[in-house]
Amino acid sequence: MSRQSLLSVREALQGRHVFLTGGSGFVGKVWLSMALTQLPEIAKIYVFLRPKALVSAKQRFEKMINTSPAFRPLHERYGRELSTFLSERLEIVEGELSEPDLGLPPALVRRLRRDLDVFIHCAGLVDFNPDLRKSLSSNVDATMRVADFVESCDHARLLHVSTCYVAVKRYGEIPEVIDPNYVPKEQSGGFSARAELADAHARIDSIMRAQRTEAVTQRLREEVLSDLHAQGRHEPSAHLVETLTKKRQREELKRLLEEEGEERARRLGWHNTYTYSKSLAESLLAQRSSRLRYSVLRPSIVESAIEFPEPGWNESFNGSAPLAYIMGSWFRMVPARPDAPFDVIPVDLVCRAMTTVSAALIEGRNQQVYHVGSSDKHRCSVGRAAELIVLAHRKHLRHHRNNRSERVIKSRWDAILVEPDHPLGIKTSRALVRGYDELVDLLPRKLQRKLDKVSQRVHDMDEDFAQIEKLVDLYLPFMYESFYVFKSRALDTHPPREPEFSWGPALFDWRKYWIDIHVPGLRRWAFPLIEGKRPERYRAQHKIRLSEPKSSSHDEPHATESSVGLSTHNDQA
Amino acid sequence: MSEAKPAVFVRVEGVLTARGACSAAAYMAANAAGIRERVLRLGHLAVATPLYEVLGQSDRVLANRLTYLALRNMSEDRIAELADEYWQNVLQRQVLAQGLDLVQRARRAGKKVVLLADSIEEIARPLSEQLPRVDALLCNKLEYRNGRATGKLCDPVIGGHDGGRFLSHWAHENEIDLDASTAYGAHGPDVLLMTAVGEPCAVNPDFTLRRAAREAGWPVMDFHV
Repeated sequence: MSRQSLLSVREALQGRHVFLTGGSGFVGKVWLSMALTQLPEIAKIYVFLRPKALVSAKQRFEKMINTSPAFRPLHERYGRELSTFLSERLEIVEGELSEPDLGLPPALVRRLRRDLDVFIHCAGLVDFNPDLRKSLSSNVDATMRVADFVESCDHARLLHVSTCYVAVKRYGEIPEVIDPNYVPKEQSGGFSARAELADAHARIDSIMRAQRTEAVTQRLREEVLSDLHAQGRHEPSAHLVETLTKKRQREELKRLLEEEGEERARRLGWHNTYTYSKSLAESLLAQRSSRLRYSVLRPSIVESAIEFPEPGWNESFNGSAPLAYIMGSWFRMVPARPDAPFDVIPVDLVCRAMTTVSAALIEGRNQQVYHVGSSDKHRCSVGRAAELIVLAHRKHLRHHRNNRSERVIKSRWDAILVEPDHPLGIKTSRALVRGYDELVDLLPRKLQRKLDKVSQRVHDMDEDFAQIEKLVDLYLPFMYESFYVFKSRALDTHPPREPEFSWGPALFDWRKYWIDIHVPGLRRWAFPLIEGKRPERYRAQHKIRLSEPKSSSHDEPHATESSVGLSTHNDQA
Repeated sequence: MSEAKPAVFVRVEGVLTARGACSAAAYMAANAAGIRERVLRLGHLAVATPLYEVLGQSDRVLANRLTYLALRNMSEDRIAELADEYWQNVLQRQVLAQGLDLVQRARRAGKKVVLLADSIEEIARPLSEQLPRVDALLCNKLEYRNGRATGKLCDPVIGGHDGGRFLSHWAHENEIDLDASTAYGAHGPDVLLMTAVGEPCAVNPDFTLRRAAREAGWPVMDFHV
């Protein structure tokens, strides 16, 4: 390979200003930590965070840096000096992505328009089937606002982080291209992304209007009263009834909007609302004027880090975590197609690719779309992944469990991949539980009471089965119904000169990755989330604390900005 | 051309460990994926093991082939992991101290150490890595296709009479002076190897090798646990 074709990431990013959204997400955190640790060349990183109800962006950022294991390398490197270091490199920016100019103050907007080089848009709602309104607002409308903002900048370029799964195909290769009006299922009257977005918004408005009518409120009020009566509360206060009615109204609206999103996505051919909304955003980006210089980076299933911030670090339970969790339970029959590619990519490789593409954007050597996946060059099939997960559980159970049944039996209780309609599948298991209930109902009361303990265990098991069934339904399209490969060649057009930014998936060994890195990482950080527990947290020895805003706009000293500076504050944890 | 060096050839099964190839294959079969697979693979070994004992007296090629056929279609990942487990849980405790002593003495005498194993590489490798610098490990290798064992052993299969010829060739290529070399054999098929070296020694020999050693006047050592 000629030296000219190599891209020097460090040279390209030297003295540049980078804006990051989604810095509190799984990928964003790792990228931020990696950039701060490994790329001292970047002049300034603007970290966009939204304030939450009672927590400012500044407080959110402090908490994130002080408690997330993603920032451990930074603490280890800088210790007491971290606050000083961050104050020189970072600017925390508070705003609202769905508003014009991202809800930023005018002075900051002017400064960003002049200075900004790369805008990394990593923020998004990654739940598979969320409320359609939230999904469109976070994944489509916000992206359009970001594109407007980047377009208005003097020389900024946009790196939009999307997902490989926007493209849906049952079989074959998926190229690195964007169709400005992409839809997986052919529509008889054609498909327009713009019209679809308008229609979806109109439908949301109509659902919301319908939910706010007096008739619906009255119906819900009656339901609440009836429930309260059933609980023995015959004269509830008007305030209680109103509060419960409003709560129920919100829940019903959320459910209706979730159903609308799911139904709309499936009707058009996407697997879920997440991929539907991400695809709409891409299509609308592709329709914009040529003034917007952008690239779309599509990672596949982003999983545990190989080495940065530490082997196994993971914060996502949308990826392989549910599959790994199911396979570690007593339930054995997992519906999946063994030969289908399971496109998993470690988060640190994704972040390396993001850095390289940012450099390529600055140098004007970027491609429009980049797939960052493993199925093209270093394929791991669903069958192999399942085998490695089983072996990882086996290793863990044999070494770390004191419980004999887990050590001796469960470690050998291998989950196996089956067809979805397997006679011992999840549906049969649930049917057996129902059958048990019906059988117990037929027994005399005395005997029923004797079986109380058993019945309780059966019902606990059924709750587990219900959770597993939900997970299986969610993942079946990826695990069983499709067989496709995401071509990942665009990154080869400008390989980084610095080996530390190479993203190549062939850089790691799947066996070591799944058994020694990924599944142990899931066990530490993702399984507790599935179980509704709190995963372990990092406790920084020297906590950073940000100061209140100073006049950070050296060029416009009288302007008021919502960005906040940083001050040194060392505190023993 | 550099001067040929003496070496010591050590048969792993019987001299260095008290467990043979069947034990490792049985461990893997018993830990295959799923109950059905376990039953089938163990059933296969239940037939193959007595044959191993009979055939192994004269030529272990067929015996080894039959044994490892029990691993057909098992994934490479599972075999590697189970081999690691087998070393930690079983084989590590079955290493014969006197056998290790023989290796260390050879090392001190400045001889190259060459291990010969009927076992597959995944099983023999951890053992060889524990020993003080082994110059070569000659063991059987499973053939894999698409990440799964085909059940076949790659040629040349270690353990048969052909092994003697293979070793002569290997020794020639690696500039080993066979006349000044020592061989510690344990099984009937090791006879050819032992006749090829200057200092043969039978260790814990089976019936065939014991008879051959008696007839040839080779020293015999018994230190079975």
